[in-house]
Amino acid sequence: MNQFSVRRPKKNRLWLKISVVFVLLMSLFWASYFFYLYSEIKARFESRRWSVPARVFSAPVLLYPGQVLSVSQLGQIFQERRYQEAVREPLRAGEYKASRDRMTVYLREFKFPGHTLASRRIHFVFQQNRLARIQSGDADLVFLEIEPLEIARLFGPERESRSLINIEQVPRHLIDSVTAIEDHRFYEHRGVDWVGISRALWMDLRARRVVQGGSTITQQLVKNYFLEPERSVKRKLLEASMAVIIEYMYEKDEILEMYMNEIYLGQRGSVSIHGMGEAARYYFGRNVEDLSLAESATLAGMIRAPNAYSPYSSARASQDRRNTVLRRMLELGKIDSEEYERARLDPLRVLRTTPPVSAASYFVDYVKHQLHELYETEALESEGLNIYTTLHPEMAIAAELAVREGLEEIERTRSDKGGSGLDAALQVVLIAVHPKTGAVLALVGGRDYGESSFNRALYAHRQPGSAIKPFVYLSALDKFTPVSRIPDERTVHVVNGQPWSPRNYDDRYRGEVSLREAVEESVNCATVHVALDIGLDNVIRTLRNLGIQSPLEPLPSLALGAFEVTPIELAGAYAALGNDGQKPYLLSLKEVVAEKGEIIERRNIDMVSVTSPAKAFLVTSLLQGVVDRGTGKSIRRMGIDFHCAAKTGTTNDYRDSWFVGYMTDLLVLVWVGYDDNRSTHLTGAQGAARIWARFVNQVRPWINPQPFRIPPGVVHRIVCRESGALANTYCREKSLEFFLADNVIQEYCTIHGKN
Amino acid sequence: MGGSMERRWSGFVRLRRLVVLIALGFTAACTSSRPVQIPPEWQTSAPAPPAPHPAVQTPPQAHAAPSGPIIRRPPEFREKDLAPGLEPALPPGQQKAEARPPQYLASMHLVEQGKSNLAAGRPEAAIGLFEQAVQVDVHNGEAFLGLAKAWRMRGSGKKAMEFARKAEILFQDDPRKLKEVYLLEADILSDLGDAAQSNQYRQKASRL
Repeated sequence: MNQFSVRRPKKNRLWLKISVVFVLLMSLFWASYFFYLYSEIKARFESRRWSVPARVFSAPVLLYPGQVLSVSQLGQIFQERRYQEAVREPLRAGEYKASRDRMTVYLREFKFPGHTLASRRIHFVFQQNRLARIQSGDADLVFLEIEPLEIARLFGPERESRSLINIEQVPRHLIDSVTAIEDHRFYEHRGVDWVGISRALWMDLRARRVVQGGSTITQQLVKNYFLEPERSVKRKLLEASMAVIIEYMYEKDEILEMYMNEIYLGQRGSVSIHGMGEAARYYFGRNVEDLSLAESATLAGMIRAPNAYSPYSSARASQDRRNTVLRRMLELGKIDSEEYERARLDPLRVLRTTPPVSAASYFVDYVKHQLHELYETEALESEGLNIYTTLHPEMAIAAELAVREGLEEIERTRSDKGGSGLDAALQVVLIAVHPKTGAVLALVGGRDYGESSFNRALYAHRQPGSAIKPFVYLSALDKFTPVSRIPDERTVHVVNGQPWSPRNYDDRYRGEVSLREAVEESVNCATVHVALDIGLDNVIRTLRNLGIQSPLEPLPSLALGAFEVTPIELAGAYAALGNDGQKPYLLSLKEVVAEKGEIIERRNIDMVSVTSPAKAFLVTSLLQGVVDRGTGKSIRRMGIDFHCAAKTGTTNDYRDSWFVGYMTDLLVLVWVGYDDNRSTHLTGAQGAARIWARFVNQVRPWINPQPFRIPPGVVHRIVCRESGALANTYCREKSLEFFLADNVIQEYCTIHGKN
Repeated sequence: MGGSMERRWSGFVRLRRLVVLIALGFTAACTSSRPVQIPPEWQTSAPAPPAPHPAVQTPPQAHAAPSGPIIRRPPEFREKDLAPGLEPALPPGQQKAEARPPQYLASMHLVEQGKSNLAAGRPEAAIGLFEQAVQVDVHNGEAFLGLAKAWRMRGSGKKAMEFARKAEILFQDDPRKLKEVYLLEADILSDLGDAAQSNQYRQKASRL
């Protein structure tokens, strides 16, 4: 007995030891496993949590009293920015209401780097299609900045659309809606809700099918963020373990914020909507902080089955689900019965306008091209960059409309329709630039981006034809004046051993013309004469200074634009004329802002003097003549009744139709032609000018053409129109002419006199 | 017979009325519908479109050619041609106040904000505001002047000079501001190490 009693403790000790070792090993295993999960979670959450595509914005739009703008045009501006017409007062952020001569808008907040456009109620008063007053409360505003338009998102392969929000932005009723319907004990449990699981099990057993899930918000976050969507015990255990770890690592509000940014809330074509921020914008056109109780309940109700409860595709189901959420909130005491009734009776109103994410496709390509030179593709697709551009959204829309309607009109009226199909389609380029800043305001690189994304504005190499002549005359102003007499006769030049003789467009040879007439009537022979007189190297030098980088050869045909340029190069060169001889660097990308708000790239207005202001003005004055009396006068019949300077361009066999014109605050270049260089049978005035005038008429609210300023170094004199000399009292036809101060004519008219 | 005379007389009256009407119509058609004005030297009003070459009936006194036989005369080329705006300056804001375009106030508001930022030593923020002011009103010399100052503050002399040149053009009618621009240009050129040109600008400023 004693022996037995002595041996027993030994056996017990062995078991004890084994148990201890086992427990230790298991503890070590679980500790390691938990540590592994902890490290995984930490690594994932501490790096980039979500892939957020870069968003590309237009420039903001500035409104001011006195602007030529109608109520309907302003309404259009807000609709483009996804504002809804209000059905009742008081207005909420993202809504507007309009009457015949008044409009009230409740602006949404918009954050720029460095400043914020506040959410506030604004009242507009109109008089005779002009914006007469802008009021905020009792105060009259001098101007109002309207939020930019989102024109593109640079998605990654997963094509997730997401606007990150901060929990502090989220209204209480959205938090309550989500927690009420998804996990009402969220603030009480530690990741896994055993009470909830037991209740769900009991409900499922009673119903003999799965009617209620027991997953907490934290578990859902784990499932969506870390795990594959399989249904197994192993996955459930893993989910629960990770939920516990996350709860240990993060505060409740942090977890809720992650959940609200992660959750899938529907589909827009091939793009998935993720997070409450994006959903609020997409379904209701609101910032998340501006959501109403009913809208919050709608979004919360969608979490379970986003597409089945989508307010777009299943309005009835969505409304029923919303009311379920509201009832649950009432049961839990999150809202009172009055709030419940009001929200329940709220009609389900969703935004019907399509988000303008595909606007200005050619411009977006232009910006993307620059962005890809600055950043890796992955960064653009996932790091939530905000990219601000110079695009004027209203002008961009007008440009696309003018191009479409203009081409239709040209094709309707033209005898040769050029066949059908893509290869045969007449193509077009429209570039609108602010000449004083170089900001590219609109850019269309073809007639239909869907059919051909080749950006002709940037990459098409076309002959400019007569559109190059202003630069020939610019080079000649030290020697010639606008009244200089230039031979206009057919001359044979020897080029590379071959005879070459330029011809005038109308085959009329006047013997002699003034330089002004030569520009206004686009006289080829006179232009070649001037170019040869001053030296072709001089012309090339001028073109190079103006930013023409295409190959140029010192041949007489250079003066007639018989070389290739890209439309954007030509627009840049003309911008120097419209900017007092200072060539502005074209600007399309303004700022790149990181997700947290720091500016990582900023581009400013920049310009360089390439000619004197006086010479630039003189050429502008000559080009004003083109519009008033010359080859471009047809635009005067198309409603262009303000100060503007322009030049037509037509190439051999009518392959290219150009029109480049500028006012003090807008330069527009239009090209029309075929990709395969066939004849368009259109002169510059018959083709491009029509689209030009159509566009400029449409953007009238956004421009203020003023007289061109006469810079220092320019003088004017009264000249005899017949002789081109200074006029005397006997000259019958006199006109005002401008001269460079150091190249003024001194001779008086000898044709007219007493006798 | 009497009836025939009466008919003939009334026909004559009708004919006379017709002739008078045609004459009146002809006179009206020949009268210019737009008064032709020659802009004074160095003002900014270029001939208004879409008028063709203004058919000037009487040239202004300054340009009047001598009567009698055509003679050669030295060109009328005076200092005024090169340095306009010598007339006494009106206080800012009063100058051509009635001609201010509607965007001017908006633009000036932005300029004021830009100036505040500049005074607070924030040229980067100021540049953004001045650029916006230019976008709104291309003839706002204050905005270009602000840009010149801001870029100089940021140490970009060449850029500053480009914007100062623009301000110089726009302030041709405002000697007080023009003087400020000349002095700024002198300073910028001095920063750029171009003492000779800097002195020229100082001299220009001293003449105003």
